[in-house]
Amino acid sequence: MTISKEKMSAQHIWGVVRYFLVAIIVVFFSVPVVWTVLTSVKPDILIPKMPPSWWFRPTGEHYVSIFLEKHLGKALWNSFIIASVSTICSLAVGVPAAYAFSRFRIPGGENLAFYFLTSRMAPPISVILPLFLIFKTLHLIDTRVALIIAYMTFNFSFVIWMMRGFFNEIPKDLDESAMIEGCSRFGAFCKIVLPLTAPGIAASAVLCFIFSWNEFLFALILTNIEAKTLPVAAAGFITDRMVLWGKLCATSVVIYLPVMLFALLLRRYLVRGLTLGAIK
Amino acid sequence: MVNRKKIEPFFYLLPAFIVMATITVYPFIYNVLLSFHEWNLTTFRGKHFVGGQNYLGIFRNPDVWNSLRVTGIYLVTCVGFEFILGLAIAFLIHSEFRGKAVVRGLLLFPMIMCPVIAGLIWRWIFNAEWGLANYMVNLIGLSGKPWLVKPRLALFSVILADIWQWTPFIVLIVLAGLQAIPEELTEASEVDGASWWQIQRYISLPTLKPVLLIGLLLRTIDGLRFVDKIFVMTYGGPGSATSVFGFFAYIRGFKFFQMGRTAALSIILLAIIIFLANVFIRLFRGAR
Repeated sequence: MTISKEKMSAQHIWGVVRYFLVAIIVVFFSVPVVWTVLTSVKPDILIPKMPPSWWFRPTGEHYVSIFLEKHLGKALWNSFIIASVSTICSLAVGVPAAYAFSRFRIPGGENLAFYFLTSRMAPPISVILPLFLIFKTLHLIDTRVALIIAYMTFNFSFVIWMMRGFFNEIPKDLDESAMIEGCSRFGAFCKIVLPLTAPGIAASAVLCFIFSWNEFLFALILTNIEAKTLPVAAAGFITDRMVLWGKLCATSVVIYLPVMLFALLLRRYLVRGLTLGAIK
Repeated sequence: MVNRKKIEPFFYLLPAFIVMATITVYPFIYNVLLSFHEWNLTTFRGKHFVGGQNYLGIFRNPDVWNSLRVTGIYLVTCVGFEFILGLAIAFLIHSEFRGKAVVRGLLLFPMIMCPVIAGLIWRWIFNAEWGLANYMVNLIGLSGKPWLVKPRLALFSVILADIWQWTPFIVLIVLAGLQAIPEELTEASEVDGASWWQIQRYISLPTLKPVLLIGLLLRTIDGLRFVDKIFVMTYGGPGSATSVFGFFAYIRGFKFFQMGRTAALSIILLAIIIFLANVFIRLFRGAR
């Protein structure tokens, strides 16, 4: 009797301790996000106040002012166009290649597929330095095209590697039986295999979009004014004299919202994508 | 017919090869060649061949060694803490409790935040006058610190921001690994009288080994590529206390415009990454 009672109370204590620990974890990982959102709707006078004010009448002034600033609307549009086009191009090139790596016996195919992946692991500076010089001679600096190409360097190898994994999960017999019934290989690929991997394609597309949307260094180097993207614009709120925290936080929320939505939709594939397909 | 079958794969692969050749292979070769030239964009003197001078210059430069040291400290501390914390948190929230789904959902948010935005927010948290960090420090009765101004504290601050962003990633992959362990196995060993520690030591950890190695590989590579937060949090300073290798190379290239030297630096960094990646991949194959 007494033993089980002791065990019971030990378990009870552990339960309480665990909730306490979980609470600390939740606070640590969510405070910066909550803080950003709060500041984005905080009146300017209250922002540099210590101790911080957690309760106040929210204001939309920062959001209004960033959308009234012409260059921010433009940066939002640039970010959207660059991320979308780069994603679409990467899929158009990468998906068929991934299919080939999954279905055909290609001499040295395994090494080749891995070689494609290594271009993703290269340090940004080793990619951006030659691209900067090449784009400079082609007069492509500060254009959207330059960033679309730059983002393809990591997106399209990502698509190949991810989609190869998704294609491998679909039995080969499926395309073969379609071919016996008179489909061409390409017909089987388009009509049978692609629809079956639709979730995989969607997941790869969304991850490519997020990688491009969040990217900073390439955008900083390759653009000035015309093709500037949102993260670079956000960093621009830090000037030598002052930091415009309200506007900065409002811009951060604008950058963050679509990514957050996508992440919630994609929960199942997020780990797979971030580990380059190694963990499912 | 036979011929057609042979060329068929190329139909699918050709676009990828063309893209690969133009946007990654050609720039890479260009970069290698560039690393044997001296070319400063701020002078009118054009590009000229200097052989291995750039590489020799790098090894003689104490600033390079400093940035390697900073990168090493940064990498080991970040990855170490992310793994210890990540494992602890994953084991803590693996079991059933109310609100588990919410906690897991919340953990997704740091790692999908744009790194440069995360850096900006943490810069503000560490602001000496009106940042949250000093507010918290004051709450527990200590005096505030000039986080981003003192060399050691600055490196610590950048590391903490990175730990905040990437620990959840380790948590998620460990949880994915723990879910792959069949429940019957742990239940059977419990029945046989194994303690919680024994179960974790002899069942969970061995199953988690490949997962942990993948995490280690990806975090190490990312840590070596890391620059975004440095840009907005400290810009390499104070002095060169947070000037990690990637950032150091960036400054050479895009502030001093020494193209040849930057190319050489970027190739050394690439070589380090490839070397470490190969070590981990060998380990990974062994673990399987």
